Amino acid sequence: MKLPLSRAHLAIPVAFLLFLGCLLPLILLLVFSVFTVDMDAFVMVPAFSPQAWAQMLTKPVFAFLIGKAVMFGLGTAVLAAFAGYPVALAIASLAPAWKGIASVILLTPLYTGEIVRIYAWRIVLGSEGLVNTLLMWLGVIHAPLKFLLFTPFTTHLVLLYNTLPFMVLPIWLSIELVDRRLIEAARDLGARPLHAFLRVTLPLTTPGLSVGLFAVFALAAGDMLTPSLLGGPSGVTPMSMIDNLFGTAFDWPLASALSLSLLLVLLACATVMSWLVLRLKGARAVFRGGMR
Amino acid sequence: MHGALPVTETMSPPPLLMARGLVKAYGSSRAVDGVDLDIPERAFTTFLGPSGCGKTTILRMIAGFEKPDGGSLVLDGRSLIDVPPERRPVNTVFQNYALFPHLTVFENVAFSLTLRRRSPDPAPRVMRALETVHMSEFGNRYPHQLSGGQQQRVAVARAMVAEPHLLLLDEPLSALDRKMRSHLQIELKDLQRRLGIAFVYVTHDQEEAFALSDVVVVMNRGRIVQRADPATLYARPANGFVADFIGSATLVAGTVMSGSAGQGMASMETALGIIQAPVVEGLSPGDPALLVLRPEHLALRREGPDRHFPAEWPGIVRHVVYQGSSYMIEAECAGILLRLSALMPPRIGESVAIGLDPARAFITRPGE
Amino acid sequence: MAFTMTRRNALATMAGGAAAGLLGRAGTASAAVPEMVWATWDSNGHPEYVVPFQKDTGTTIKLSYLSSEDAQFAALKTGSAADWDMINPSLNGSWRYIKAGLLKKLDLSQIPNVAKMYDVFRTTKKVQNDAGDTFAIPYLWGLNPIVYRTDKLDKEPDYTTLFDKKYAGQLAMRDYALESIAIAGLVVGVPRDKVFTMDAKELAEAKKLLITQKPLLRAYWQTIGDLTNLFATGEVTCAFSWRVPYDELQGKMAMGMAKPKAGVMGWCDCFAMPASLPDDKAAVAYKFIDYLLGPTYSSLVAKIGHYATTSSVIRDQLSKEEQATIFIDDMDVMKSFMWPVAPDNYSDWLKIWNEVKAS
Repeated sequence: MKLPLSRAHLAIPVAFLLFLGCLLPLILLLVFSVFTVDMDAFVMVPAFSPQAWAQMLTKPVFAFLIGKAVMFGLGTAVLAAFAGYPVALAIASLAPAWKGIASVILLTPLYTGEIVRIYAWRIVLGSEGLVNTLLMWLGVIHAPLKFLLFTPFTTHLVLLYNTLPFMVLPIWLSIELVDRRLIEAARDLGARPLHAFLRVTLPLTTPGLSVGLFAVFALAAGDMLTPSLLGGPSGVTPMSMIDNLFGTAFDWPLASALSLSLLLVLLACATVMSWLVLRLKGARAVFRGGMR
Repeated sequence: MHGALPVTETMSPPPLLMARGLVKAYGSSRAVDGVDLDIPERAFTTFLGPSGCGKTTILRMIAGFEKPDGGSLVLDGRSLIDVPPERRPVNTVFQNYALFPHLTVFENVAFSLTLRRRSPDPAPRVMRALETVHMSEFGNRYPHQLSGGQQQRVAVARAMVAEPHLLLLDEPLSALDRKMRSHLQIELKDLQRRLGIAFVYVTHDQEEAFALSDVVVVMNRGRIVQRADPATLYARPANGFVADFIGSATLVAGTVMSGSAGQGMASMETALGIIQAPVVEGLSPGDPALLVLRPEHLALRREGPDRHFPAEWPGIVRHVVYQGSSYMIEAECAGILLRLSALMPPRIGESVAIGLDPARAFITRPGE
Repeated sequence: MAFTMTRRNALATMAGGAAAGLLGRAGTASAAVPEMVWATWDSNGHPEYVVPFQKDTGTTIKLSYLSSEDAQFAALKTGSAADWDMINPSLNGSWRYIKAGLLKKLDLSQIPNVAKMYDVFRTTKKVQNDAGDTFAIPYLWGLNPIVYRTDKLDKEPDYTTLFDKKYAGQLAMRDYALESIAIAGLVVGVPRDKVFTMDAKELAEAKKLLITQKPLLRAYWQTIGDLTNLFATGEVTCAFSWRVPYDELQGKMAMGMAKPKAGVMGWCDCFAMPASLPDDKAAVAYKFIDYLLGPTYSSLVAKIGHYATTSSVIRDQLSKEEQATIFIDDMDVMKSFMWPVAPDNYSDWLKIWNEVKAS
């Protein structure tokens, strides 16, 4: 008997790790979420109680926060797609040597720590920061623009900046994989450059685009530091709430219920997104290897 | 589709496409090095040459994918130089078909018809085009569900549905197996005749070029070596390169002794002796030249003087190769290996006599 | 590496033994305990502060800095802090540890310096269980003032300033349910001594006020370094704060520090021992808390860290100015102190705070 070892078998160890590292904590969360906490002794009581879930479903604050995270995720993903696609196109059109340089520049933000970047943004956008100082010096404004920092605008801007590389890289790779002759064929058949892009390049790069959308959505919806340190008073996120409930409030059941709810909603969004992607002809063509 | 040929045909109408001094350089090397060319209407013209000779580059310049570095390109009396590909009345069948993988066969063929906002329903034209290439059953398939030959047919349908004045085909059959290739050659030739539009075809396969073309343009190193119909090309190659590239031939070096330019005959001194044969234009006495001997113009005489040739040399058989309908034989005469074919194989090492009808040989310039 | 470590430990033990022998004052117990781990805040346990104690007793104090009170509680609760010998609950949070049975009952007779503590700390019930047993000793305190820019505010701020539309966009509030809701309670008129036992109606009013405050705020600050940065960059000109930005930015900008009459939020850190601490180590720990309440630690922490201990032992030796710096020049300040203590319904407070932030 020979054991047929296929490429799929190589994934078994990783699948096992994923199970241990991902599924097991989820099961724990599920169990915790139906327990109660004895606030006198600060111990979890392993007695079934729907209390945490009842709060989860009745208090609007949780739905509001999760909705906000989803909106930040989707908004950032869409903005990043519009901002990232032209960048990816530009990089793909560079000479090979310049592509290397461009990718290094593109990834620069990732080399600096998140906290460093956050404080750098404060220096740039602050009341006495670079932008306001410049605009006042030019005489465009007479009082600092306060909306630049500690507002939802700031959160959107910085999330966009932070996640842009994760949008540009997969799109760029996707563009590189599109056979140039397909573009030539489209032009040859009478398509102007814009039409060739819309009808050939764009459909065939939907896999890269969707990988980018997934990555940016997850990163932006799950980010805690950027909203809380740059978003100002409105910077509270489900993540910071979970942190607060687990740590300060010692309300593990509610924290677990919130974690699971957030996860479920984000998963549902991702599922809908991938379902939509797989309905796209371009994505299907690429996934079945039809490009070769 | 076009009807009967116009009466003025014999007046030799202005060419469909005219190239003058066409140059394309990549770095320091010139892929196309000063090409002058006329492509006639309704003809099947083939660019033939080894890979890297510049034939595909010319095709790409005609299609508009490459911008010439010099020279002019005029189609229908209009310069093409600054016209983008989408505005040229030219369509291309790509080497690997370049079918859009995300579109069905129908959508691929309809592509050029649906680009304008207010295009009429493309379905009838698409269906007609698919019928023309015998693919009307496959409209809903995706390219990856088709065989190579079927994909090729779709590529042709997609290119011709736009009704180009000129259809460019870039080695469209090179990825197919031999049987499919010869089958599709017949279809292509037939299609070209029915559509009555000019085809410009690129290949490195001489048999394919001969099977299809009205005019063959032989290229080497970015230049045109000879432009002629297949029969002329075979019988009267302009130089040793053409003689060698096209068909099988023994090339014997020598010197022109005397020529009678008017009658196109010359005598030439070779290792096989002095031979009088038709000659290419422009050779003078004293010039080095090549004698082109095609296998079918040589004969093997084994026993008895059954037939005498004006020229005949004793030789020894060196190689015998079975080729199905006949044998290819190499026999050594006066230190030269002559290649010829025979129905009955001699033994290797056998002494034989090789005969030649000099009227069917050809004296040409040395090759490049 | 392992060898080096072992040798280093051995040397430390020998040095400790030698010191004990030479000085003679140290009892046998300390000679048997070469090292004690003190879990505390970096500002409370600067390495310099413990040097005299180590010289005296021959016991090395190993400092293990805390990241948050919650982390300390969790570490003790889950048993992942087995190497801690002395810990640092806050005065307001002590009850949590006591209720959870994490602390060792203390024998005050072993701590002579307790007698010199200010009354307010010596008599506090917050470190006792219902039976009146003591589990923690308050040793370091301070107040959380309003820090402000004297060049941007025309008068000394009080808590109402933090809700004043006039200063919209330049205010900051601490991201801490207990203090923030209490301040709102004071502003809506809840008496100082009832603020931490507000009823549902009062809580709802405080919540409403906090929601109206939100658009006026530049930020909810989480770490004092973050708030200091906000002051330094001109984003914030007035905030409910710790004294750190005042000390750090003094001289760079016009900083002021206000102690609102309505009630000053005090903070106080306690010394405690984990319930399972063995007797030989407990003996050293008693010496250590006595040291914390004594003159040496008091002087060091007053001069370097600008904090006051709970002991009056050095007060008279300090200049009036030095006394003022650490708020012990006028002991009446104690009368306006409020000791924020987590109420029984603290989880409701947390929920209110979360709702305010998410509004």
